[in-house]
Formats: sequence, structure tokens, C-alpha cells
Amino acid sequence: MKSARAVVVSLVAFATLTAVLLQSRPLAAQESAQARTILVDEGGSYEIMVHPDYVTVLYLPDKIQKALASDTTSYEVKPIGATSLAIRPLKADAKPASLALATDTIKVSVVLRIAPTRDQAMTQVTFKRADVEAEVERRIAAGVAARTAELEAKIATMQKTMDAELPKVADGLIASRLLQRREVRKLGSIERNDDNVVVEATEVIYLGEDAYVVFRIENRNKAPYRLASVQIKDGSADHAGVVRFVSDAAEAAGAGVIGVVRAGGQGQGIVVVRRSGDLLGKRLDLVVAEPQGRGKVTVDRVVLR
Amino acid sequence: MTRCAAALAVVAVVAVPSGAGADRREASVHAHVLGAFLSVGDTASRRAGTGPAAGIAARASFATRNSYQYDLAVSLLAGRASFDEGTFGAPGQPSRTGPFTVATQAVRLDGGVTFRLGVRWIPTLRLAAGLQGRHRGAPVVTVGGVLLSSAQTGRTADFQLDAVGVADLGLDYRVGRRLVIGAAAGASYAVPLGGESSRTLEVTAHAAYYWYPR
Repeated sequence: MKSARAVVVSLVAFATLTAVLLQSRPLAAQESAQARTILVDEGGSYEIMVHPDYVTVLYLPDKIQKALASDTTSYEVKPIGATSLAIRPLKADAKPASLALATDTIKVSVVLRIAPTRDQAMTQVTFKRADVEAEVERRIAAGVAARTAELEAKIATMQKTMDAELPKVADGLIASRLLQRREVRKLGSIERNDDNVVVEATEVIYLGEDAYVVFRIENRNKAPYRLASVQIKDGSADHAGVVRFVSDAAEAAGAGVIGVVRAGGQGQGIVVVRRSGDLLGKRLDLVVAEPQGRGKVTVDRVVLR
Repeated sequence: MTRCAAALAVVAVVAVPSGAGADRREASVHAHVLGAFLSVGDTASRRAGTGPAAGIAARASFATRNSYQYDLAVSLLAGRASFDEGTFGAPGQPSRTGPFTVATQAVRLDGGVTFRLGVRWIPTLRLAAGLQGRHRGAPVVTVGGVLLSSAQTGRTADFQLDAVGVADLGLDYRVGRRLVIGAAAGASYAVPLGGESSRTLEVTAHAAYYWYPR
């Protein structure tokens, strides 16, 4: 069981990490309207808006071999390390100029143009090789696929193990509880509503600390009774757990309905009360109802002993 | 009447469909008002006397099956029977013949079974047997426009005990989970234990409170 939990935890962690990785790159590009990433095949021409108030930094994928500006009097171009350039217009009314850049793998021509406002100027432009990016994405996708397949295989194995182990676990649990307490007691509390639906708490089966309250619904109304809720109430507190219900109705239980009792028919159900020891000797109410609380029947004085 | 009622009961039991009927484990108390038509015998007359009667009754029931319930009823009935002609004569007095009336007050305790053949609308058939105590007043005899005294008739009030059988057909309506109202028509036949016979045709209306005793 511990290994299964570990696999599930690692699966969740991996899925989260993958999601973060996949989303991180577009997020970076979208952090600011003044940052831009350009994918380049081999070369191309691109327009970049600049402003005297800002320094615009160009990031290139590898070492810059050549950087030629057409107007060095109006634009200041300085290298920052081997792969970056800082550009700043020197005049507010500088005319558009071109900047030719060449690295080991790409050649691009950049048209520098003064932005009407500083907010429209770019502060960061990153050039990336499209084929490298595609390769990175392909490798990530392949890695994710491989890891997903591996986890799916582990889950399948775990599922098989659980399918085999769960009955044993359940058997062991039941056996332990049987050793703790096993007893059937009659209840016999019965009540009806104005629509002639009669509900009887017939007996309770104790299995360890848990109590299984068996109830029967006799629908003597002319309309089907659609059981939607079952409560075991001690005052306002509801102690009902799992509910199971069977009847001879042909109608299938729809959404929000536990079971259906046809007109003139009967059905039987069980509601589990966990840790019933706290409720022994108390007068409980078994409350059953249709959707929206219609057709409610409250069987009072259900006493577990 | 008794044979007819027994036959009806058999038919009712056979005809009750599975799952239909009354209400298992329910108990009830009923309050009745009665209207009746009396037919009683008298030693002074060869023909029975008849007359109206009225009364009240209370009934308690408990059902162990959906189709019927056991019940116990106590009824009080008062009326007066009129006879066309009777002959009375005290010892040492000449016999006198004339019309007469006899007042009757009866208390009846009977137990039986009520078959209940429905859910909301509930046709009912009740069969019961029990004992009836009957107080008969002194006959009021009029001969030639003159009312005879007890000394002249030789009769005073008396009390007699009857074994009684009762059959009722009715229709109940369940108003809610607790309240049922209904009406019934029926008859009783009293077998005298040392007196005169008595029969009644009765109509009743009742309201009943039902609940599940714990």
C-alpha cells in the first residue's frame, strides 16, 4: 500500500512539474508587453521599437560574430558579453536605422524605430533558433510521453495488485470486526407519511464498532417513491454513512436518487452508522426523503443497544 | 345476516390483493355516533316491536397484517320499540290488550376483525361477537286511551343479557397519516340468554386516530 501511495504521489508531482515546465516558457514571453521572443530559422528581418528612455537588450542564441549599425550617431549599440547587445537611441527624433547581426548560426537584420511612447518600446528581445526550440520541445514531449507510459504501467501493475489485495484487506477487516462484535438486533420502529409511504427500521447488524441499520420502504402511494436521502439523526447531527438500497422497481435510479420504490412496491436498504458506540441507548431518528425533501418520513425512537 | 356476513368476509379475504389492504402494526382508537333501527321481541306480543335508537361507541384496534385488524368496541344505544298489540295481565287482574312501547338501553361489548381493503379509500368489513346487556323499561300500555299501571300490566323494568353478533360494511378515508374518517352500515343480532331476541340495523359515522405503538 505504501508503494502504491508513493507512485501516486510521484505521478502527481511529475504531472505538476510537467505542467509548470510547459507553461513556463509562454508565461515568460508574456510577462511584459515590452519583452519579445523571436524564433529564427536561419535569418530574417525584424522591426524593433526602441525609445531614448529605455535600453533595449538583444539576446542571441550564440556568440555574435558581427554587428553593424547603419546610424551610429543616432543609436548607441554596445555588446554585453558575447551573446547580447544593448541598444539605446541617442535622439528622440532619430530616424529608423538598421542593425545587421550575424552569429555562428543565424543572420538577422533588425530595423530600429523610435516608439511614439516609451511604453511601446521593447526592453528585451530574445532571438532563438526555431529548430533548436523545436528539438527541445520534441525532447520534452518525448520525455513526458516516456515518463507517462512508465507511470501508466506502474498504475496498471498497482491496480492489479490492489484488485488482488483489496478483497484480502476487506476480509481481514471484516474478520477483525466480527471478533470485536457480531450481533443482530430487532428494531421494529415504523412510521408513515401522509402519502402512505411506510418506512420501518427492521433490524440493526453490529459489526465491530459499526452498525448497519436495515430499513424497509413500503410504497402504498400511487406514484413511485424516489429515495434521495437517508439520515440517522441524533438531534441535528447526521450519523448516516454509506447507504445501499434495492427494490423490485424497473425504473433506474437517476441522478441524485439512491433507489426507486414503485407504486405498491417495496424496497430494502441499509445505512451504515460508523462508530455506533457513541450512539448506543440514544433515541435516533431515521429520516428518508425524496429529492428536495419531499415525501419525508421520520421514523423516531430508533434505539441502538 | 350472519351467514351473509361470513360469506362476504371470505370473499373479502380472497379478493384482497397481495400488498394492498390496511396497515400492519398500526393501532387506532375510534369514536362513533350511531343511528339504529330496533327490532325487539316481547312476551306480550307475537310480533316484534320496532323503533329508532341512537348511541355512541368507541373502538380500539391493532393490525398484525396489512389486510385486517383486530378490534374491540363498546357501544351504548338507547331507543324505544313500539308494538302494535300486546296482552298484559297481572295475577288477579283481567287481561288487557292494546298497543304498547318499551324503552331499551343497551350496552354492547364486542370484539372482532375488521378487513380493510384499501389505502387512501378503505372499504371495510367488520365481523364481531360479544355480549350485550339490555335494560328494558316497563311497558307503556294504552288501552282505550288509558295508560295502564305496572300493577295492571304485571310488568316492571328488567335487565337481560344477550350474546350478540355484529357485521358492518363501511368506507373509510385516510385524511393523513394519523386521521381516518368513515361511515358504515351494519346489523346486530342478539341471541337472548333467557329473554327476548333483539336485532338492530345501524349506521355509524366515525373518526379515528391511528398511530404506531412502540
